[in-house]
Amino acid sequence: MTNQYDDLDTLFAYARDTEPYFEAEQTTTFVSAKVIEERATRSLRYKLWSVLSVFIAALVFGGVAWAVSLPQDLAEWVGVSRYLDIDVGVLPAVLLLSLMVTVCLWFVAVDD
Amino acid sequence: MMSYSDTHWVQLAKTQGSHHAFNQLVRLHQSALRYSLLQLTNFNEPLAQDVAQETFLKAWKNIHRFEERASFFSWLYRIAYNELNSVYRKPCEYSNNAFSVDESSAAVGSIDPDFSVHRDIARALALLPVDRRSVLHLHLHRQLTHQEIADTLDMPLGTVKTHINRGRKQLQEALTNSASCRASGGL
Repeated sequence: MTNQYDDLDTLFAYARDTEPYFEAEQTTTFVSAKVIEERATRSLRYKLWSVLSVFIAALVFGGVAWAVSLPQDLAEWVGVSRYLDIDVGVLPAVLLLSLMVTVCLWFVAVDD
Repeated sequence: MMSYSDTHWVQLAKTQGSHHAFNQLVRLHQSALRYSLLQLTNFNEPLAQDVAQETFLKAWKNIHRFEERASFFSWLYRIAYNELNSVYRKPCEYSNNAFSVDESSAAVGSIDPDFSVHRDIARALALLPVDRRSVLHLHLHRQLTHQEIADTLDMPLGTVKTHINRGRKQLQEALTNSASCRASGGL
Protein backbone atom coordinates (compact mmCIF):
# COMPACT_ATOMS: atom_id res chain seq x y z
CA MET A 1 0.00 0.00 0.00
CA THR A 2 2.89 2.33 0.76
CA ASN A 3 4.15 1.91 -2.82
CA GLN A 4 0.72 2.74 -4.12
CA TYR A 5 0.81 5.99 -2.17
CA ASP A 6 4.08 6.98 -3.82
CA ASP A 7 2.41 7.65 -7.16
CA LEU A 8 -0.59 9.95 -7.13
CA ASP A 9 -1.80 8.98 -10.59
CA THR A 10 -1.77 5.28 -9.76
CA LEU A 11 -3.45 5.93 -6.45
CA PHE A 12 -6.24 7.98 -7.99
CA ALA A 13 -6.68 5.48 -10.80
CA TYR A 14 -7.29 2.89 -8.11
CA ALA A 15 -9.65 5.25 -6.30
CA ARG A 16 -11.59 5.82 -9.53
CA ASP A 17 -11.87 2.08 -10.15
CA THR A 18 -13.13 1.45 -6.64
CA GLU A 19 -15.32 4.53 -6.24
CA PRO A 20 -18.36 3.45 -4.23
CA TYR A 21 -21.84 3.80 -5.64
CA PHE A 22 -24.42 5.28 -3.32
CA GLU A 23 -28.01 4.24 -3.74
CA ALA A 24 -30.24 6.95 -5.14
CA GLU A 25 -33.56 6.08 -3.55
CA GLN A 26 -33.15 7.89 -0.28
CA THR A 27 -31.59 11.01 -1.77
CA THR A 28 -34.07 11.28 -4.60
CA THR A 29 -37.05 10.96 -2.32
CA PHE A 30 -35.57 13.32 0.19
CA VAL A 31 -34.68 15.97 -2.37
CA SER A 32 -38.12 15.93 -3.93
CA ALA A 33 -39.82 16.03 -0.57
CA LYS A 34 -37.54 18.76 0.65
CA VAL A 35 -38.18 20.92 -2.40
CA ILE A 36 -41.89 20.77 -1.78
CA GLU A 37 -41.53 21.25 1.95
CA GLU A 38 -39.19 24.19 1.57
CA ARG A 39 -41.42 25.86 -0.98
CA ALA A 40 -44.43 25.55 1.27
CA THR A 41 -42.55 26.77 4.33
CA ARG A 42 -41.03 29.70 2.49
CA SER A 43 -44.31 30.69 0.98
CA LEU A 44 -45.99 30.72 4.37
CA ARG A 45 -43.07 32.55 5.96
CA TYR A 46 -43.14 35.23 3.26
CA LYS A 47 -46.84 35.78 3.83
CA LEU A 48 -46.44 36.02 7.59
CA TRP A 49 -43.51 38.42 7.34
CA SER A 50 -45.31 40.53 4.75
CA VAL A 51 -48.38 40.89 6.96
CA LEU A 52 -46.23 41.61 10.00
CA SER A 53 -44.14 44.19 8.09
CA VAL A 54 -47.19 46.07 6.90
CA PHE A 55 -48.73 45.90 10.35
CA ILE A 56 -45.63 47.31 12.06
CA ALA A 57 -45.21 50.00 9.42
CA ALA A 58 -48.86 50.98 9.78
CA LEU A 59 -48.53 50.97 13.56
CA VAL A 60 -45.49 53.25 13.54
CA PHE A 61 -46.85 55.62 10.93
CA GLY A 62 -50.38 55.65 12.30
CA GLY A 63 -49.19 56.08 15.87
CA VAL A 64 -47.06 59.09 15.08
CA ALA A 65 -49.71 60.60 12.80
CA TRP A 66 -52.27 60.19 15.56
CA ALA A 67 -49.93 61.74 18.11
CA VAL A 68 -49.16 64.85 16.09
CA SER A 69 -52.77 65.33 15.07
CA LEU A 70 -54.06 65.57 18.61
CA PRO A 71 -55.09 68.96 19.89
CA GLN A 72 -52.28 70.50 21.89
CA ASP A 73 -54.08 70.30 25.22
CA LEU A 74 -55.07 66.70 24.74
CA ALA A 75 -51.60 65.83 23.48
CA GLU A 76 -50.06 67.34 26.55
CA TRP A 77 -52.59 65.53 28.70
CA VAL A 78 -51.79 62.22 27.01
CA GLY A 79 -48.14 63.14 27.17
CA VAL A 80 -47.16 62.29 23.64
CA SER A 81 -46.23 65.63 22.15
CA ARG A 82 -44.18 66.62 25.16
CA TYR A 83 -42.04 63.53 24.89
CA LEU A 84 -42.02 63.11 21.15
CA ASP A 85 -41.76 66.84 20.41
CA ILE A 86 -42.72 66.38 16.80
CA ASP A 87 -44.94 68.17 14.35
CA VAL A 88 -46.56 67.37 11.03
CA GLY A 89 -43.37 68.36 9.20
CA VAL A 90 -41.61 65.21 10.32
CA LEU A 91 -44.25 62.88 8.95
CA PRO A 92 -42.37 62.22 5.69
CA ALA A 93 -39.35 61.20 7.73
CA VAL A 94 -41.52 58.91 9.82
CA LEU A 95 -43.00 57.45 6.70
CA LEU A 96 -39.51 56.86 5.35
CA LEU A 97 -38.50 55.23 8.61
CA SER A 98 -41.55 52.99 8.46
CA LEU A 99 -40.71 52.00 4.92
CA MET A 100 -37.14 51.23 5.94
CA VAL A 101 -38.40 49.05 8.77
CA THR A 102 -40.64 47.23 6.30
CA VAL A 103 -37.80 46.72 3.83
CA CYS A 104 -35.50 45.48 6.61
CA LEU A 105 -38.11 43.01 7.80
CA TRP A 106 -38.62 41.83 4.25
CA PHE A 107 -34.90 41.26 3.84
CA VAL A 108 -34.87 39.32 7.08
CA ALA A 109 -37.69 37.17 5.73
CA VAL A 110 -35.90 36.59 2.43
CA ASP A 111 -32.59 35.82 4.10
CA ASP A 112 -34.14 33.52 6.67
CA MET B 1 -18.96 16.04 -23.09
CA MET B 2 -22.65 16.08 -22.21
CA SER B 3 -24.29 12.71 -22.57
CA TYR B 4 -27.54 12.35 -24.47
CA SER B 5 -29.45 11.36 -21.39
CA ASP B 6 -28.29 14.47 -19.56
CA THR B 7 -29.35 16.70 -22.43
CA HIS B 8 -32.69 15.02 -22.69
CA TRP B 9 -33.53 15.27 -19.00
CA VAL B 10 -32.15 18.78 -18.69
CA GLN B 11 -34.31 19.98 -21.55
CA LEU B 12 -37.39 18.40 -20.03
CA ALA B 13 -36.64 19.86 -16.62
CA LYS B 14 -35.96 23.30 -18.09
CA THR B 15 -38.82 23.61 -20.52
CA GLN B 16 -41.53 21.68 -18.72
CA GLY B 17 -40.39 21.91 -15.11
CA SER B 18 -40.62 18.14 -15.06
CA HIS B 19 -40.03 16.66 -11.61
CA HIS B 20 -39.57 13.25 -13.20
CA ALA B 21 -36.80 14.56 -15.48
CA PHE B 22 -35.02 16.21 -12.60
CA ASN B 23 -35.29 13.08 -10.52
CA GLN B 24 -33.56 11.23 -13.35
CA LEU B 25 -30.75 13.77 -13.23
CA VAL B 26 -30.50 13.28 -9.48
CA ARG B 27 -30.33 9.53 -9.98
CA LEU B 28 -27.63 9.86 -12.61
CA HIS B 29 -25.36 12.17 -10.66
CA GLN B 30 -26.09 11.89 -6.97
CA SER B 31 -23.60 9.13 -6.26
CA ALA B 32 -20.67 10.85 -7.97
CA LEU B 33 -21.49 14.16 -6.35
CA ARG B 34 -21.83 12.59 -2.91
CA TYR B 35 -18.52 10.80 -3.35
CA SER B 36 -16.83 14.05 -4.44
CA LEU B 37 -18.24 15.83 -1.41
CA LEU B 38 -17.11 13.05 0.89
CA GLN B 39 -13.63 13.47 -0.51
CA LEU B 40 -13.76 17.23 -0.03
CA THR B 41 -15.12 17.04 3.52
CA ASN B 42 -12.81 14.34 4.83
CA PHE B 43 -15.61 11.77 4.73
CA ASN B 44 -17.90 13.86 6.91
CA GLU B 45 -21.04 12.09 5.79
CA PRO B 46 -23.70 14.37 7.32
CA LEU B 47 -22.02 17.45 5.90
CA ALA B 48 -21.56 15.83 2.49
CA GLN B 49 -25.24 14.81 2.48
CA ASP B 50 -26.39 18.28 3.48
CA VAL B 51 -24.30 19.95 0.82
CA ALA B 52 -25.40 17.42 -1.81
CA GLN B 53 -29.05 18.03 -1.00
CA GLU B 54 -28.63 21.79 -1.03
CA THR B 55 -26.82 21.46 -4.33
CA PHE B 56 -29.68 19.58 -5.92
CA LEU B 57 -32.21 21.99 -4.46
CA LYS B 58 -30.36 24.94 -5.94
CA ALA B 59 -29.94 23.10 -9.22
CA TRP B 60 -33.68 22.49 -9.35
CA LYS B 61 -34.50 26.12 -8.62
CA ASN B 62 -31.95 27.43 -11.12
CA ILE B 63 -32.17 24.81 -13.85
CA HIS B 64 -33.44 27.50 -16.24
CA ARG B 65 -30.08 29.27 -15.84
CA PHE B 66 -28.06 26.24 -16.89
CA GLU B 67 -26.67 27.17 -20.30
CA GLU B 68 -25.41 23.69 -21.21
CA ARG B 69 -21.98 24.90 -22.24
CA ALA B 70 -20.44 22.52 -19.75
CA SER B 71 -21.61 19.14 -18.55
CA PHE B 72 -24.47 18.98 -16.09
CA PHE B 73 -22.13 17.40 -13.55
CA SER B 74 -19.66 20.28 -13.88
CA TRP B 75 -22.51 22.70 -13.22
CA LEU B 76 -23.60 20.67 -10.23
CA TYR B 77 -20.06 20.51 -8.96
CA ARG B 78 -19.76 24.27 -9.20
CA ILE B 79 -22.92 24.74 -7.13
CA ALA B 80 -21.62 22.22 -4.60
CA TYR B 81 -18.24 23.95 -4.45
CA ASN B 82 -19.91 27.32 -3.79
CA GLU B 83 -22.18 25.73 -1.22
CA LEU B 84 -19.25 24.10 0.53
CA ASN B 85 -17.39 27.39 0.60
CA SER B 86 -20.38 29.13 2.13
CA VAL B 87 -20.60 26.40 4.78
CA TYR B 88 -16.94 26.84 5.62
CA ARG B 89 -17.42 30.58 5.97
CA LYS B 90 -19.89 30.02 8.81
CA PRO B 91 -17.54 29.74 11.79
CA CYS B 92 -20.12 28.37 14.20
CA GLU B 93 -21.38 25.58 11.99
CA TYR B 94 -18.35 23.95 10.47
CA SER B 95 -14.83 25.20 10.77
CA ASN B 96 -12.37 24.31 8.06
CA ASN B 97 -10.52 22.02 10.41
CA ALA B 98 -13.56 20.38 11.90
CA PHE B 99 -13.32 17.28 9.78
CA SER B 100 -10.91 15.11 11.63
CA VAL B 101 -12.14 11.64 10.97
CA ASP B 102 -13.23 9.68 13.95
CA GLU B 103 -13.55 6.15 12.67
CA SER B 104 -15.93 5.22 15.43
CA SER B 105 -18.25 8.20 15.02
CA ALA B 106 -21.71 8.10 13.53
CA ALA B 107 -20.51 10.57 10.91
CA VAL B 108 -18.86 7.79 8.97
CA GLY B 109 -20.99 4.96 10.23
CA SER B 110 -22.79 4.07 7.04
CA ILE B 111 -19.74 4.15 4.78
CA ASP B 112 -18.14 0.83 4.10
CA PRO B 113 -15.13 0.60 6.43
CA ASP B 114 -13.04 -1.04 3.68
CA PHE B 115 -12.60 2.26 1.86
CA SER B 116 -9.33 2.95 3.59
CA VAL B 117 -7.65 4.30 0.46
CA HIS B 118 -10.52 6.71 -0.15
CA ARG B 119 -10.37 7.81 3.46
CA ASP B 120 -6.63 8.31 3.30
CA ILE B 121 -7.01 10.48 0.20
CA ALA B 122 -9.74 12.51 1.86
CA ARG B 123 -7.68 12.90 5.01
CA ALA B 124 -4.71 14.14 2.99
CA LEU B 125 -6.92 16.49 0.95
CA ALA B 126 -8.36 17.93 4.16
CA LEU B 127 -4.95 19.36 4.96
CA LEU B 128 -5.25 21.64 1.93
CA PRO B 129 -7.45 24.72 1.48
CA VAL B 130 -10.85 24.00 0.01
CA ASP B 131 -10.16 25.54 -3.39
CA ARG B 132 -6.95 23.53 -3.78
CA ARG B 133 -8.53 20.26 -2.75
CA SER B 134 -11.41 20.89 -5.15
CA VAL B 135 -9.00 21.51 -8.00
CA LEU B 136 -6.99 18.41 -7.16
CA HIS B 137 -10.09 16.26 -6.90
CA LEU B 138 -11.32 17.39 -10.29
CA HIS B 139 -7.87 16.94 -11.80
CA LEU B 140 -6.77 13.66 -10.28
CA HIS B 141 -10.05 11.86 -9.68
CA ARG B 142 -12.47 13.29 -12.25
CA GLN B 143 -9.66 13.79 -14.78
CA LEU B 144 -10.88 17.17 -16.00
CA THR B 145 -8.51 19.29 -18.04
CA HIS B 146 -7.07 22.48 -16.60
CA GLN B 147 -9.45 24.56 -18.69
CA GLU B 148 -12.46 22.50 -17.66
CA ILE B 149 -11.51 22.94 -14.02
CA ALA B 150 -11.09 26.68 -14.52
CA ASP B 151 -14.54 26.85 -16.12
CA THR B 152 -16.16 24.65 -13.51
CA LEU B 153 -14.80 26.52 -10.52
CA ASP B 154 -14.80 29.94 -12.21
CA MET B 155 -11.11 30.25 -11.49
CA PRO B 156 -8.32 31.74 -13.62
CA LEU B 157 -6.38 29.11 -15.58
CA GLY B 158 -3.10 30.19 -13.99
CA THR B 159 -4.54 29.71 -10.51
CA VAL B 160 -5.71 26.23 -11.43
CA LYS B 161 -2.22 25.30 -12.65
CA THR B 162 -0.66 26.70 -9.49
CA HIS B 163 -3.07 24.73 -7.31
CA ILE B 164 -2.27 21.55 -9.22
CA ASN B 165 1.50 21.98 -9.12
CA ARG B 166 1.68 22.91 -5.46
CA GLY B 167 -1.20 20.71 -4.43
CA ARG B 168 0.28 17.57 -5.93
CA LYS B 169 3.42 18.01 -3.86
CA GLN B 170 1.49 18.74 -0.69
CA LEU B 171 -0.85 15.84 -1.26
CA GLN B 172 2.01 13.46 -2.00
CA GLU B 173 3.76 14.53 1.17
CA ALA B 174 0.62 14.12 3.27
CA LEU B 175 -0.07 10.67 1.82
CA THR B 176 3.49 9.53 2.33
CA ASN B 177 3.37 10.68 5.94
CA SER B 178 0.02 8.95 6.38
CA ALA B 179 1.42 5.70 4.93
CA SER B 180 4.53 5.90 7.11
CA CYS B 181 2.41 6.57 10.14
CA ARG B 182 0.18 3.63 9.31
CA ALA B 183 3.18 1.36 8.72
CA SER B 184 4.59 2.26 12.12
CA GLY B 185 1.19 1.71 13.73
CA GLY B 186 0.78 5.35 14.66
CA LEU B 187 -2.58 5.94 13.03
